[in-house]
Amino acid sequence: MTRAVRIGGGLGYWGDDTTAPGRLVREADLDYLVMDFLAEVTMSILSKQMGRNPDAGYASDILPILRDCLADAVEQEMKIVCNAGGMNPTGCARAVRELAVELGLGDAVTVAAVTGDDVLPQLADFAQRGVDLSNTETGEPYAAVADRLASANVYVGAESVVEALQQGANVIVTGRVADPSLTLGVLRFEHGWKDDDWDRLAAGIVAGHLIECGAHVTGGNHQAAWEHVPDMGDIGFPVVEVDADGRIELSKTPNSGGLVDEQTTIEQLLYEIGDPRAYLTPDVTADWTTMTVRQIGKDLVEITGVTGHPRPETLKVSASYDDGYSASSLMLYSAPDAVGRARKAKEILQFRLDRLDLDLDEVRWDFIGLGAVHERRTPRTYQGEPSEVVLRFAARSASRQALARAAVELSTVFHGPPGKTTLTAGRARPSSVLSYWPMLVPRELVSTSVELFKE
Amino acid sequence: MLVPVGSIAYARSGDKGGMSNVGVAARRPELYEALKRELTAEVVQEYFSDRARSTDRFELPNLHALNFLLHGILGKGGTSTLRLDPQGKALADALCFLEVELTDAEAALLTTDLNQKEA
Repeated sequence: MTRAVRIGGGLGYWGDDTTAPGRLVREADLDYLVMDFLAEVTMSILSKQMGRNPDAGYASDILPILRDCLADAVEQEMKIVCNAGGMNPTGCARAVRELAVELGLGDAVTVAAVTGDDVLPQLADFAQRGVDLSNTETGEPYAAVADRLASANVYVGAESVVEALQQGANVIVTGRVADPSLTLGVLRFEHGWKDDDWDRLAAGIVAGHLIECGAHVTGGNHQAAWEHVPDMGDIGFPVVEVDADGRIELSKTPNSGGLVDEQTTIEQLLYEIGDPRAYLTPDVTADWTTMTVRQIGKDLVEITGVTGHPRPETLKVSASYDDGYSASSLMLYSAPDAVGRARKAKEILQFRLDRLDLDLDEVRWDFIGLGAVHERRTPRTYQGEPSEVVLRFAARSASRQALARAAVELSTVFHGPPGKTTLTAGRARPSSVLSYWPMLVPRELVSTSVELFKE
Repeated sequence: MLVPVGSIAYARSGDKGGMSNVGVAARRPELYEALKRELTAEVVQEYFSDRARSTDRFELPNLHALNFLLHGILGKGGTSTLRLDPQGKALADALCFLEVELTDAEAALLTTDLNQKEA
């Protein structure tokens, strides 16, 4: 029997802490580093970027991450598997290869690009062949969006990751390989699991699901007991060790903050699932209802008994389409009469917008601080406190870089207490500042002239 | 006794297109039965009826947990909804405010602090 394989989950999403993977690589004695960069929204953003620049279209954070840890990974013969390729795995692989050469690792790094998930150019053909491309949630017909699709990517499985590893790659960048299938690919390669060994494949999917959100399984977003998580500011990232039978041990970066216990594990297992008896992936239909989760040590949890069934005959396509524009604005009112003033402001604005009779499909007003998130499900104050509170960060610097780095750090409160919702999209963007500078000059130094341009 | 779901369970939610799921797990195995009895699909649908089209419930007895799928609660999905909390992350907390009825025996289990973690 092959030995257990140790895999670290270095990232939960694009925008996550770029220093976490390096720390895992240096401190967690991994065989593989796996990183998930892609969410439903990410592919459409990347598709737009590639439209403007054919060399773009991948998750560019991969470059600073690898600059930090590629040499250390190579030295330990650790392999790296990620879906940073986004819409442009080939361009991503080229950039990673250039970086490897720049770092003096040209001889030691073989980069593989996994492509084929982008089916946008083929959709019209699929439709013509009678494939039903209706919206699986609403049933709306494909024709409603056919001419304004921005991206269409199939969630593909572990097969291509296995192939890339068999061909000797040690850095693999894929497009829309399903998040947990990155991990399953590693396990299939290492343990030689057959493509119909459903129970073991399902265990690999569970292992992948546990680490694909990074610190959300190590005490981040820990709704059960967030106030008891130690050292959240120094939170560790997850590590799974999976043996040839599919037994999983979940732990985290050694000597880090955070927490791994049965509750943090169960929270992550419950994240974004549908029917737990049939968790559909490209590789296997995993059953979430047979496994046992058991704490076996400090920050160490064992998951056994996962079962699976044959994989579905269809693959899910994640597509996005142009659907107009949106705009939003925040206005903060303070005492006295903050609530009354804010309500008056809304009334005035509503009156003026109505008078313009603009073509607005939807308008929404939220009074943040008065139960805007939970609405009727909480009173306006909760145990004497406002029902929600907005934490604001602002900074100024002569260095754009310093602000960009600070902005990366801000994303890490996703690893903090639960209950954070997104108010503005993406990282804070440094913008140039114009400051006021009043001066006096002698009058005689100033002369004016008028120049007219005409035929 | 009426108690908020959050006192007997913890939860995590997230987006799946225009749907959101809310997974709810009992803080102790002994409280799973109460969770299962009180949190029916109908109760949860009524609670979110201002936002959700329909609600499915699934059971995970091995994790002492239930999973709810709230259809249509995020409109056309996290990228286009104008709502605060576009990805439904706060729905877990929202469900934990819902009040449910416990038997005396179940309520007695609440006298110890279920939130306690080892230091």
